[in-house]
Amino acid sequence: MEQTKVLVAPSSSHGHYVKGAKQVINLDEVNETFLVEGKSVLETSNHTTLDMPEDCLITCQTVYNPFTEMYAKSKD
Amino acid sequence: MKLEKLTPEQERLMLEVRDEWINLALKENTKGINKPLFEDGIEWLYKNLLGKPKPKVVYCDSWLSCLITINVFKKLSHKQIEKLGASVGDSVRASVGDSVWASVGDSVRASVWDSVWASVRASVRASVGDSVRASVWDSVKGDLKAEFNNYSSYNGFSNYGWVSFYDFFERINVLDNFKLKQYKKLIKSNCFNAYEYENYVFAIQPPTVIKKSNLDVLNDTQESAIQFADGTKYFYINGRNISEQLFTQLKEDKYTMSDFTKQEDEEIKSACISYLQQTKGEDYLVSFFKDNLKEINTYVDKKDQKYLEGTTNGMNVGVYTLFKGEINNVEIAYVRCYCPSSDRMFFLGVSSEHNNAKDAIASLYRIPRKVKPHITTINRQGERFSTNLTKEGLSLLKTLPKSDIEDLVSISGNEYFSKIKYEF
Repeated sequence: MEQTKVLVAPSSSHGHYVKGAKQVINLDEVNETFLVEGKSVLETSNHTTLDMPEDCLITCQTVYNPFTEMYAKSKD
Repeated sequence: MKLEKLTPEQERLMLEVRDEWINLALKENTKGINKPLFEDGIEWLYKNLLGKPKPKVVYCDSWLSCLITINVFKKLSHKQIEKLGASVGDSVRASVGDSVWASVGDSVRASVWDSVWASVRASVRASVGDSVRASVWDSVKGDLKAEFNNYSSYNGFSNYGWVSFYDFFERINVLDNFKLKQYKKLIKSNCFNAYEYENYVFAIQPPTVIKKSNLDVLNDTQESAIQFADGTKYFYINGRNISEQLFTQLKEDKYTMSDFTKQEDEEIKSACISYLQQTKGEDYLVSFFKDNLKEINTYVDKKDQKYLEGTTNGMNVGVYTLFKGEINNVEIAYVRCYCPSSDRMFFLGVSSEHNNAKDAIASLYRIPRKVKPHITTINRQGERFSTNLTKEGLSLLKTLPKSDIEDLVSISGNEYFSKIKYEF
């Protein structure tokens, strides 16, 4: 069954939503890694909509914090 | 009646309708809610669509004061005043959805649907619904979260987009629907948003101040970009809400490089950069960073024109510059880059081990180690990457245990830029 709109960026203040996929599987809640099955689009309020015609893997950009010397999820 | 093509007169009217709705929200907001129109609309909504008696209407000067008022009513309701009754938001959504949206939709399924939808509905929605109402929503929702989500979905600025669309078809006589006419009165009353209960409707007055930049996003570098009649203020730079404390710090020249490095939210960092650019110019921005950062290297990713559709198509798309320096005896490094959708400037933290911008920016893309050899293409929307894998890679991904999914690695600049296609 087709899913309507799935949030794949829980930590984002604007949110990024997968629309129209057959299935969206949350593989890693901490790093926010998702497997998207089926043709879909990725929507958000402050960027152009991205067409995702095939199965794909959604990951979050990281940024390096020189004070902790660690990579962390990029926040917006 | 099937409409195959708009006449020049209809095309002119289409733009007029679009501007009327945008002006209603952004220029006539200072007049406040047209109370007779709103109360007529509410009476019709409750009596005719919901089959309920006309509720009392309470007007509130801001979204925040509305939520506080509802909370006060809830605490007093069993003694001092008539009970609020249950929220009828769901019933309103269902009734308006079925009675208005469904019935008018079929009447205007014409071949010009797409072009009118794009011109009228999308413009009005972007200018009014997304830019103003949704932005303020983000700012307010933290304040009184429990009640917040009961807001009306069919009353207020968020509906200007789709109502303006049907308004156009009504004005060119494709549509003549009594329910839409009644509903339109409610929306045209200029109510910002509302909370609907059985016995009461709480209507929020539109903001008295709405300031936007020429990019059609909320923006003001001198004062709050949104202000309600009760003095509630929200500060926005380039569409991003920032706290009054940060705004004051920026305005009073007290924002330092150290503050910048401590800020974790990339959008807020970008808003601060934009504030400095708008108020003091590019030269100041360079000097703001130059005390601590030295430009090391620039990489330009020249994209095929087909991948630039949907971007600003400007000269900053695909330009990455590495800066390095030291602050409080800690080595720091940033890659300056620009959002391809909005041209906002970002400084993203990278490891100071990098000596070129190409590898440095690529290091921020991370993927489970086991599927790294199977990447075919990479696309990006803001801080989210969408990666396509080979069939083998996809099958492998589905079998990986959690520990392997969590084991993320980066790729080289050469591999990253050979595989990245669309970036928005």
